[in-house]
Amino acid sequence: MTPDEPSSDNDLVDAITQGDIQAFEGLYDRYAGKVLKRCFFICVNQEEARDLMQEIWIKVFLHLHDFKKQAAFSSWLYRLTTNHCLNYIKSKAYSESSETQHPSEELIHEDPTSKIDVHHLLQKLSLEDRTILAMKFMGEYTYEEISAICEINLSAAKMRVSRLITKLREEVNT
Amino acid sequence: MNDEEDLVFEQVLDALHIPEPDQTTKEQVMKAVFFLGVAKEIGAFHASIPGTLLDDSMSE
Repeated sequence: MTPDEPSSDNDLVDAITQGDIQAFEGLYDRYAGKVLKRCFFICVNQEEARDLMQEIWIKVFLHLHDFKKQAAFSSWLYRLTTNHCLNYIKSKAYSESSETQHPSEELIHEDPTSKIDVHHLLQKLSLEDRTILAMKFMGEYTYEEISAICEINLSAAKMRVSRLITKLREEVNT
Repeated sequence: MNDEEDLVFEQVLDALHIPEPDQTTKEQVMKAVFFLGVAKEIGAFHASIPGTLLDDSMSE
């Protein structure tokens, strides 16, 4: 490999597991923005998304030896991201279960820099809808897994994802 | 997996225009990782020393 040639994800992973902490910076630079977007999609709050992203990168470092390279590193990272965010949302919902506030009102944070109306888009998506989308497109869960976790039947899971994607497609195309 | 659906999802993420993580966040992550790396090294170092050398009891 020449110095100009960008290292592959797996090269960086190997370097990190051999003790090269600087290689971690390479992975971080490559994926931090993507992880942050995914955290925001689930928790809909920039501050929480940033905190979650930090926790996720610590987790990546601590669990990198669990990555067996059977799939792409990005797939492993995004599944870890999805699971971490969903666990956070679950524990947050549990700790706030005494409050009767509507989740979408509670979580929405309007970002003036967004070019599409995030408030408008996310009001259309319940937390459950975002969870299903995150599992499907970030965590790469199968429909079978989604239907089992969400306790809905397989065809309902497929239909729901399809309906949500149609809704999102309309939103990005407006 | 349906590539077209994946593409729509990626478009939504991009359209949210979430700014890239700032430098301070990166520094905090890198600092934590550095300390964890050091802790790992120390752990490995201690594990390589026979238990008696790490025993801090003051036996006469």
